[in-house]
Amino acid sequence: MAKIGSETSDTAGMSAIRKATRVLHRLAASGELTAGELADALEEPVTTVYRMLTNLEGIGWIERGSRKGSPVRLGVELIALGQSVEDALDPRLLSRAALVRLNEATSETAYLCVPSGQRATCIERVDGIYTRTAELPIGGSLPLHQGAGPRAILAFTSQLFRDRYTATMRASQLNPMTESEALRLDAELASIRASGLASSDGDVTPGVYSVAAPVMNHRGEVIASITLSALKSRTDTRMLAFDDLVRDEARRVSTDLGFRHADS
Amino acid sequence: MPTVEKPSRVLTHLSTAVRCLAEVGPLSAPDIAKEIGVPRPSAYRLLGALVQAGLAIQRADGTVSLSTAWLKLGDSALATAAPWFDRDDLLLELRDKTRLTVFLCVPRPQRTVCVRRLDGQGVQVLVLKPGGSLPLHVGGVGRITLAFGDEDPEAYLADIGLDQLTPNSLVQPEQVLADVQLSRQRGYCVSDEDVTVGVGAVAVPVLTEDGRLLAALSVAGRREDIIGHEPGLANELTETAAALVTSASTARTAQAAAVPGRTEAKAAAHTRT
Repeated sequence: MAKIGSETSDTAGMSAIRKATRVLHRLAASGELTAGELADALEEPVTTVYRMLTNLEGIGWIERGSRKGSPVRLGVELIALGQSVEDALDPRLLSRAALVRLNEATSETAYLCVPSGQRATCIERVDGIYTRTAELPIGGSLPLHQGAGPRAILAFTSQLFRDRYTATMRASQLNPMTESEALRLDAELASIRASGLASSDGDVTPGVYSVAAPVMNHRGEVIASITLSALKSRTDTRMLAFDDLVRDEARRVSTDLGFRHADS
Repeated sequence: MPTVEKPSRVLTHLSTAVRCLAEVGPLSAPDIAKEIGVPRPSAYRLLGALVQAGLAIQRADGTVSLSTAWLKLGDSALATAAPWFDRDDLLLELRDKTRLTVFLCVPRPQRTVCVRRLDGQGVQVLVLKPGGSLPLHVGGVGRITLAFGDEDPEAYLADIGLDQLTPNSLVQPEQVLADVQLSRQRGYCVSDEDVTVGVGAVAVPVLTEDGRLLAALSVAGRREDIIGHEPGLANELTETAAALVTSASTARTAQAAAVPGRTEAKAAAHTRT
């Protein structure tokens, strides 16, 4: 079978697709533009742009106001297409490969947590070859401020969410969070945001070191975290390597989900 | 000699191919050729152009699927369709409080288009999804748009045939006009199985300070969770609608201050938090 796109055909039709794509990206970057502004931005004759806009309007990819000379914007059909692509993305499936790679690189336990209410639930896990940490089996959950995986999620939620979360924990009947604990958590979450990594040194299970990084979607919302966890005695010198591995894998999954990293 | 295809035909094929990929998932060039009725070489060229434009990716098995570039286009389309809307958290809060499916829909000629849906915790209401639309005599969001929008209800009714989706759908023009009156009086509209049997909804208008309709906001769920709770739900919805507009007018002031950027800053704010 011929490889798609290997052929450098350049019929009028294919260049139309290229031009259409440029119009879409331009509108995505600028919001509303008039045909004249578009022609300037794309360095195309205004007649070409008019024809292109009529064609794009015909397929619902752009909308034009009813007034003559009124600006053009992306059509609602694109919202539907974006939604279809979003629905087809499966964070669990995409992360599974990342967990396997982490496990192959380190022989340790890797797992995926997703937020559910005020807890983080483990929904995928690849167990270590020599040791298997017992924290968070599949289906298990922890409060969002406990353990590296949950904290990697909490750190990247909105300020409003975090404030409410802390308020709830502080008002808890059972073992409420003290003010100094709340302050310490706040500082810790800030440093997680700065480094992009959460680590836990035995604060869920004594002797277990875990490091976690957030997985973001295309809206920049945190939707999961990837954690690598090992017996402390087995990590020691490898901890730094763990940090990079986890950060890279979480970034890779985020990219697959359409997240655009600030530095890329 | 290569045949030169007309751009309009190419774009029609392009949109059909994209729609197929969106609905069916990854497809090969021969699949696409069959689906849209073009010769295989055209399908290869079409998919090749899509891949080159970054709108699709070729997978290891040779099939092609839509790329994540569509997410950005979809987000941008949403940001320009409802430039005043930047408080997704208010909708989330409404969803969490009511546990119902939340819809935000913007008016378009003779229909209302869903731009945001947050699924409820009980039954998921699937009839309307982002990008999809309802006519204005159907469902909470449609009927509240007819009651508060720019369109003249009588002119709308003269143009449109009233299809009966369920036994509860309004099929007589007089029923629709009476419903418009009731919605204007109460400030909300109740959908009692008029779109989907078993499903109810309450909708309110999202209005600017000078009374222009920006959107319709609704919560929908099992009929039992809606009927009998309408006034309470209408209150929740009205509060959220008011908060959406308050933050919208603040955003407008900020936008007016930074005229040259127009919606640019807004689009950026949507993609990065």
